[in-house]
Amino acid sequence: MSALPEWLTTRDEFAPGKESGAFLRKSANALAFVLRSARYMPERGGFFRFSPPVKLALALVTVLFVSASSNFAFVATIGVVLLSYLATLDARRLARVLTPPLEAFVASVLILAPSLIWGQTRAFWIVPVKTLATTTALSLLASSMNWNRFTCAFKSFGLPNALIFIFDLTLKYVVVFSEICLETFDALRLRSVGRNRRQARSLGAIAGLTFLRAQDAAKDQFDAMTCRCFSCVYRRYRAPFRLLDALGVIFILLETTAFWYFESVV
Amino acid sequence: MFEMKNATYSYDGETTALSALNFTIVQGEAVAITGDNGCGKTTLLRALNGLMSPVVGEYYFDGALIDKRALADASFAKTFHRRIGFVFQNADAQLFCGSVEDEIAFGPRQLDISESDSRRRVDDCLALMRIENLRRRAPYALSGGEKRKVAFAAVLALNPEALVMDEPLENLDASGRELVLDLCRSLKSVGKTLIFATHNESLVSEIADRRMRLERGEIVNIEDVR
Repeated sequence: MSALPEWLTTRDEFAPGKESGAFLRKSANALAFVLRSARYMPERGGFFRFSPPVKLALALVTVLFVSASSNFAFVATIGVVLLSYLATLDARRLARVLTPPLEAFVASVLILAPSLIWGQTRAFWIVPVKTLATTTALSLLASSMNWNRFTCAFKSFGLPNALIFIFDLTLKYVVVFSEICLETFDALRLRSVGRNRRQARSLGAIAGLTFLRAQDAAKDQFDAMTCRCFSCVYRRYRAPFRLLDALGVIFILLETTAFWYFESVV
Repeated sequence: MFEMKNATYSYDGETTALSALNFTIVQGEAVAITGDNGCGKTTLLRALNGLMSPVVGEYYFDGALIDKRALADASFAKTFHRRIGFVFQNADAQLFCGSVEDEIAFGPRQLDISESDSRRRVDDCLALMRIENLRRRAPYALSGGEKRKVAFAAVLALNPEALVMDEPLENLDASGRELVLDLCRSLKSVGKTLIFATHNESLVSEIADRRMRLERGEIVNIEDVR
C-alpha cells in the first residue's frame, strides 16, 4: 500500500468564509442555458412541417422585408400574421418560441424609451415591433430545424461548401464545447471550497483552454470526417416538393407583393 | 454518510435519469457502481456531489438534507464540496490551471492553511501520484493517463473524507492502474469513503465492500462483495 502523508490521514477542520460564489454560479447557469437551447430537439407540425429550404426562405424573407420596411402598416400586418400563427401553438411550444422574442422586444423598448423625450413616437413603436416580428420569425425557424437541416437548406440556396462547412462545425462545437465548458465549471465549483480571489482569472483560464481544445477538436473532427469519405462537398436537400411547400412559396410571394404594395402604393 | 430516500433525478425536469433510489453508504465503506453504458452511473455520482437535486425524494449527507435550497447557502455548499472529492470521467474537463503545480495547489490555497503547508500538500500529492516530473507542465498538454493522475492529485490535495470516482482506471496504463488501486487501498485503510463507477472487475473485487448495480436508472441489486 502507498504510504499516505500524515495530513491525508486526519480530518481537516475548516470553516469557509462568507464569499458567495455567485459569480461562478451565474456563469455556469448562463452556460447551461445556452447548452439547453443548443440541445433542444426541434418540434414537428404546422410551420414546422415545411421543408427546410422553404422554412429558411420564409424566415429570411420575413426578416429582410420587415427590416427594410419603413411602413408601419406592413410591419404590423406581418406581426398580426405571426401572432395569428403563434395563437395556434400549444402553451409549452408557445412559451419556447415566444420567450426570446419577448425578451428582445422588452430590451428594445427600454433602449428606445429616451426617444419619447424627444417626441420620436414613431421610432419608439416601429423598432420594437420590427424586433418582435423578426426575432419571432427566427425563433420559429430555430425551434423547427436542427443543425444538419440548416446545412442542407443552405446548400439548396447555392452557398459555397467552405461557408457551409464552417457553419456546420461551428454549430456542432457550440454544443460540444458548451458541454466541456460546463463540466469544467462544475469541477471549478466543486474545488472552490474557500476564498478564491481569482474567480475571474479561473473563468478566463477555462475560456482559454476551451479555445485551445476547440482547435484540436476541430482538426480531429475534420480528420475523422475525411476518413469517412467526407470531401467538403455538402448535398442539397432532396425531399420531394409537397403541397405544403407550395403554400409556403405562395406565402413568400404574398409577402413580397405586400411589401411592394405598402412601400410604393400606400 | 450518504443516504438516498426514494430519490428521483431528471434532466430539465423532463427526462427521468434516476428513479426511486434507496440506499445508505456509511463512512469508510467502498461501494462500486456498475451497469451498462447509459444506465445512470455518472448521473448518480453527479447527484452524490450535489450537482443535481432530486425532483422527488431526499438526499442526505451526514444527516443534512442536500437540495437546491441547502446548496444555495454558499458556506454550506463549500463545506459539503470540500468533504467530497470528485474525480470526473473526463479528466481533461477537470483541469483548468496553467500548470500541474497550480492545478494541485488550487484547492489548498483556498483553505486556512499556510503557504508552506499548501506547498507541502502539492509536493506530497505529486509524489503520491508519481508525477513530480510534470510539476511545471501545462495540464492541457499532458497525455490522457497523466491528466488522470493530475486530476487525482488535485482532488486529494483537498483531503476529502469521501472520494467519488467516475471510471478511475480509464486512460491509465498497467502501472498507472496499479498505482490507483494501491492508492484506493491506502485511502480505504485510513477510513476514507470510496464510491466509484466502473466496468473494471478487478477494481470491484479488490476494493469494493459492496456493489450497486444500476439498470435504466434504477438500482436492481446491491450485494456484498467482501
